[in-house]
Amino acid sequence: MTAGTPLLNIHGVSRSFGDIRALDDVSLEIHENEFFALLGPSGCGKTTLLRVIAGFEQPDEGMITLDGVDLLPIPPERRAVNLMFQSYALFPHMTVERNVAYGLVCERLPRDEIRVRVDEVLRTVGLTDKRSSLPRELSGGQRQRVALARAIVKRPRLLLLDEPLSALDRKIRGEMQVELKRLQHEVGITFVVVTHDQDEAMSLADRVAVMDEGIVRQLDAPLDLYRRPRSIFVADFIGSSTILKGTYADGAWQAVGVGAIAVGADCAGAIAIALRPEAVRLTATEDAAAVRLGTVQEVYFQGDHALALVKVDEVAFLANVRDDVLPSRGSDVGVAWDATSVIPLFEE
Amino acid sequence: MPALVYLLVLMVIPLGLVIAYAFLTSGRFGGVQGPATLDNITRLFQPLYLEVLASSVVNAGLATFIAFLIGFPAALAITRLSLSWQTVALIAVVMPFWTNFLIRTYAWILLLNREGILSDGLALIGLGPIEVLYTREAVILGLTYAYIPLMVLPIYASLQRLDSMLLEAACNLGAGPWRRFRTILLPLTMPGIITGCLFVFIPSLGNFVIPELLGGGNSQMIGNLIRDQFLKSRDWPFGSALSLLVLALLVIIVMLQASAARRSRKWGA
Repeated sequence: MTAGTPLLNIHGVSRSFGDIRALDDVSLEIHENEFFALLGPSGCGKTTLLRVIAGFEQPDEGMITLDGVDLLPIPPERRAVNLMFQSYALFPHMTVERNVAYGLVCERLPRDEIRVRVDEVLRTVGLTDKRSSLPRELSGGQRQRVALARAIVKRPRLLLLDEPLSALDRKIRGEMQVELKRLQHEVGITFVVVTHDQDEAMSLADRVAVMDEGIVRQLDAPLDLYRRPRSIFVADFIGSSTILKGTYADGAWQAVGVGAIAVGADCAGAIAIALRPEAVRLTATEDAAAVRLGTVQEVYFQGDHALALVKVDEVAFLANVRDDVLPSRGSDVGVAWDATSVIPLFEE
Repeated sequence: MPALVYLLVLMVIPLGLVIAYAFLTSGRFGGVQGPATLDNITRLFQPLYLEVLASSVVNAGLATFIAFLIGFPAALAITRLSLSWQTVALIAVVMPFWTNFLIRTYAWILLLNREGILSDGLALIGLGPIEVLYTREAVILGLTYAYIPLMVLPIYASLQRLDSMLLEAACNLGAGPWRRFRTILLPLTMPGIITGCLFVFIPSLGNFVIPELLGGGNSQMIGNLIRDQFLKSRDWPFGSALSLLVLALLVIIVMLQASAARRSRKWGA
């Protein structure tokens, strides 16, 4: 298969549960060897989409093809798609080895081949010495590796991962994130991760689809998603930003509550503009660069920088502060930004 | 403390009496008298009594097996219902217990006899009339019917506890329905299945009402034998010895169940 041809083609897929439209005309193309992320708040439909691809749900409308073959008539147990469950769903009465071998036994492979492949995958995830343990005897991180091993040992065309890191504590999460990325390169399987954690999606994925209320709001590479969000929802959901609603007139943004602001980008047709905190700086009140004057309301220390919340009239601006001396609460400051860093937003 | 009194009065003293009686001689008009003897115990091993015990075990075992074959799918079907319908279904399962056991068993006589619904129904399609009443099959049917709710309830409870994700995971890994049943559903609900089987097997083994009413004189079980020793032959010591035999058998079975339960606890929640 040539690069660029979609491995998985989701076309116009909709699914409702009663009055709730979990998926609303979703179309996506996922390419071979891609690390793809479905990102969205809980209830946005991302898990439903995953279950539709795995075959546990049938869509009301639409079509899904894998390698050009219609996937929907194929029962879930015969799809070349494996799923790593959020809760891992390890079989509690089977050892690590039998858990991992389960999918191969289902394929009725010869015993020798099963042993070779299980050994190999246990080495890949670093669990060779735990092969005779029961899931109960493993740590959270180890259980996750077993779940992963059990899915990749089948050598699926597509591996679906449902919130793969959510059950792990923060420290292990970082390690597993690196591990997942390494594995994806090593085994050469297309990964689709479902997550509500933007950091996870942004750092792992080649491309991210941001979903909300059953709709794909934006599909882009992480950097583009961050730099050029198209909607208020995406600008707000990914990273943080100051969002100023208003209208574009006379070459300037007429922001509600703040007044006219010079903008570098073409904002015709925009419904709001966004400013990332790193684009906003605090200045002395008398500084000529200050665009507006405001009062510092809160300062959140973040380690390498601090995030200041500055109230300008009725609008709260977010600004990163990298100075050694942090502004004190209640002090009057100027807020400044370059007109070119203004991001126009065209949708809600 | 009340529990201890309870145990003493209802368990230890009666059991002690049964054990003591088994080693005494029978009185002329019932009751027991000295001297102590092992005759009752040796008499247990006469082929006549062993045969009755064996056929009782087979009857109770078959009833248990049939109750499982019907009860497991029934329990599974109940777990698939919505929560409010599950309650309705469970009430329906225990509803027969609201009616007296004897009356329900008499009802089977009406259904099974030569002029009964079963025979007439089969006659309509040219398969009857048949005589089911007063056969061994009728006894097994009666036992199955009487205790099947005790099979359904524990299996339902263990199916409820089962994480449905495990079945989806097995499906996703390529297991068809039969393999999912055999490798996931069955082993993980085994504690409930074993409990259900014991709940059916134990009362079936000692039952004497159903063999009497539905089996006529043709199908004696160990319960009938024990009852007859006390009420007809007035041989309390031998009746006690027979009771101990049944008890010993059940103790062995319950011990096996306990070790199986220990094994499944090792898997963790």
